[in-house]
Amino acid sequence: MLRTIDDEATIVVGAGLAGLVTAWRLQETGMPVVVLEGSDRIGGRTMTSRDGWVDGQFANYGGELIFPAFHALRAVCEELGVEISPPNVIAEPEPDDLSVVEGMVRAGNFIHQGTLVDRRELIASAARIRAAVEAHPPAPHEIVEQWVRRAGLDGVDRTAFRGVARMLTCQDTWDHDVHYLIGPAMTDIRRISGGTQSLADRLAMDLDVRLGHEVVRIRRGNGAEVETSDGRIFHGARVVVATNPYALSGIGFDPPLEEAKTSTVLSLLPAMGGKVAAQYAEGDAVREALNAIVYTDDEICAAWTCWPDAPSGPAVVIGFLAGVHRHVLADEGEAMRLLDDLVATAVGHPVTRLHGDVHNWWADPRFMSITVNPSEHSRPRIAAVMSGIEHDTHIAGDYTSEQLFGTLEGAVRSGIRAADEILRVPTSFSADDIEERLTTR
Amino acid sequence: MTTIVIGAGLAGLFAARALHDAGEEVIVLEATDHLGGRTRGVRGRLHHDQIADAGASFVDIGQDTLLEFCVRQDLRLTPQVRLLPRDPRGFSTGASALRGRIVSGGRALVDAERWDLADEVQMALEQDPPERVETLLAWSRRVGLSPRARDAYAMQGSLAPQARRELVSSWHVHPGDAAQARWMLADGADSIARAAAGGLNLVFGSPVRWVDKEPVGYTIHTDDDSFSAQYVVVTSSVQATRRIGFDPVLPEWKTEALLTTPMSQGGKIIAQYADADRLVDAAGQGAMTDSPVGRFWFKRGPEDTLIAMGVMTDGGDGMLTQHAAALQVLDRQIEALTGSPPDRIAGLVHDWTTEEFVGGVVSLDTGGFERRAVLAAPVGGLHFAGEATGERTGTMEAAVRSGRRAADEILQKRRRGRSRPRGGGR
Repeated sequence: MLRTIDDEATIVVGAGLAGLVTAWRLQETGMPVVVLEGSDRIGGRTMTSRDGWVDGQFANYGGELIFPAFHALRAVCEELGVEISPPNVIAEPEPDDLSVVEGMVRAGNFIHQGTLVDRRELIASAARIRAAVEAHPPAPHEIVEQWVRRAGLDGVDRTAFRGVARMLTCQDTWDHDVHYLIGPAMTDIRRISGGTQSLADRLAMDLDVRLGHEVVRIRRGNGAEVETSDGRIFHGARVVVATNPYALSGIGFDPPLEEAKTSTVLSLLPAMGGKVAAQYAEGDAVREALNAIVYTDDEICAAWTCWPDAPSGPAVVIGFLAGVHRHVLADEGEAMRLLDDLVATAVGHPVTRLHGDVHNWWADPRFMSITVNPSEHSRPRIAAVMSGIEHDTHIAGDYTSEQLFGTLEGAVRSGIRAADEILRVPTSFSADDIEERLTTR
Repeated sequence: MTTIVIGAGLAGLFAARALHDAGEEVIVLEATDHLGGRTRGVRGRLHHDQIADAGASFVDIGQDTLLEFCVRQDLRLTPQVRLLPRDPRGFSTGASALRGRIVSGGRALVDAERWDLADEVQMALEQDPPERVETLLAWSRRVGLSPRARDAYAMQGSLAPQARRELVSSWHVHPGDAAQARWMLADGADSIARAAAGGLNLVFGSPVRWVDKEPVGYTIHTDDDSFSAQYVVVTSSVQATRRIGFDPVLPEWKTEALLTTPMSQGGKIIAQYADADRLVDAAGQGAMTDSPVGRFWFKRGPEDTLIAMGVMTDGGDGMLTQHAAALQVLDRQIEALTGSPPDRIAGLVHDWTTEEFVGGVVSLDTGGFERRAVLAAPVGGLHFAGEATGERTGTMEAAVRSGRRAADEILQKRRRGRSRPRGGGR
């Protein structure tokens, strides 16, 4: 008798988007899968807060924005019947633009030194940024802040360039390179209509997800024995570790995780921070001012409405607090005051906050970052090292996906890739199988 | 022509000192108003004219460049501080710290508890030693330490490199060759910088914003001035260096190394107490704890006062910015050892994560030898020094040695230049 790879379950560690996609793909083919999740909820950094917000509104604390190139994510949503919102314009590129920033400056709103910059000035700023890029072409590996200094950007132009970079990475401008600011513009974004969490919930619907199962040890090779913090042990044919990188480096792998993987994780620069969210009564005015992204030179680097196509009612605004300003997240009152000020400046008059909350990914030892944004040069190596299979251990997560670190799409693609790896694993032949089926008699 | 040194920390000062002593013209541009970089001494906050070491504290055995400098400059050290007791056989290992005082959950563990935990860790270290880069947390889980032993073992990362336990590799604590014997500078850690700065041309409040390569040499731009130089020694922290523009852009291998060298995120807490004798009797040389003050130790002052210095790792809880709360945490850790609230007469918290020209405590040395070498390598006439670029990363000794190394690189170029025959023949 041939043993099939279905004999033992695949154990997926982490019920974030990557792990759920892996598990869902495997289960679709009839393979048994168990998902172990350390926290008490599904989704990881796919997280939508619904409690406390009036009118059935919500706030996405984690991944939210869907760019046009996110084909795998959109295909999964379509297959599962998860609705994606109509596009929301975030950039107005022109044919001779030299960077992503110019189009985003034309379409966005910018707060410079506490004042909202008017549209004509932004159009002029976009032209000046274009001229700076032409005069001082950024090298793809150049650190954003180093380019800003080298090109001599100042005033609104500097605020605008830094603001777009900070918004896209959730990092200070000295912690990432400029490569993704150069090239074709991303013109619009979409969202998952009911909040990003609904994709995770839908993926998990028919899966065996065990919440509160924090994995502390994985003995691997010839199958996997996965142990949780309360001593429960799960046996599987293999394990897919779909946590974030810093949770991976804290799991007790036996034999230890390959040194190259641990070194790679510890060499990442985390986007240290979180999100701040609030709901305002003046819904129409807030939507009008913040449906386009508002970028600042202040603590909250960018903010936008979480549900731009809401027909009426209040509006929920989300912003990033990250990098050197992340400490504000520990002071909820101060974080709320900063967001109120930002929204009031964007709207042009004081606003009434109905509800608010902060979510500090940096403080949570399971995450310790919003995301990571390695340099363009290092991405292929990082993705290759992290996704390499060792001792029946597969690794998934946005940070294992070459060009899509820190995106929902990266998580989805890594989950599909890990599932494909497992589906490619050949049937194992025992000595008896070989004797029976292959040797001459 | 001149050499410009960026940064008046130990690396910059020792580079400048060596160049100056060899007859070179040197200008040191310092972004802040402070001398000493991450050995900054804060004055006027403690009683009896005591100086608070906001950054580095310790000189360790084996840090011979510093020790030699102290001898020559007549810089005095405090009595020895022994943070890690030896194990019963006289060795220092990853279990040694558990034999010292520990405050866990606000309670001081009694001797028998700590020795049991240390014995458990010691046995596991012998039977199944950690791999070099394996994190403290991963190893302690792999070998199945009890939760209490695991927590105590992982507390060690808070001292060196002062990072969260998920980010600390085992080589930082085991086999524990470092920190067996350490001393502090009697007149503050910045007394090294003050001695090294004598006679140098220092310009404070001059952050370097970008560096232009010229046909010959470089132009170095600050906010409202510019300087010409044949050579530049960049001694700013890895993060601060990422904020300086270079034209032409630094090569890919250099920015790559800069972008893959995280700095530990944290700060220092310094409090001054009355009743030093009573505190030291009960609390010995301090303790490691599971509180936001991960480890603290003492320095005696005049009139029976005591300075407690502690390290704080940024756990996202805001304690680095909530100074009063952080000082109360330190008080409570001391109280756990002494049995009564200590009489605090002064205190401060210094957060290195928000310092524009620093950005963290020390580089995490996650790339080992190769990354250090790449961080150190010159790019044309740009030379690089600092604690991240040499062995013993994260120490004053590393900074000092790297500064001298960078100076030697420049002096060697000078000698080659002089020995070249006129007319440019080879």
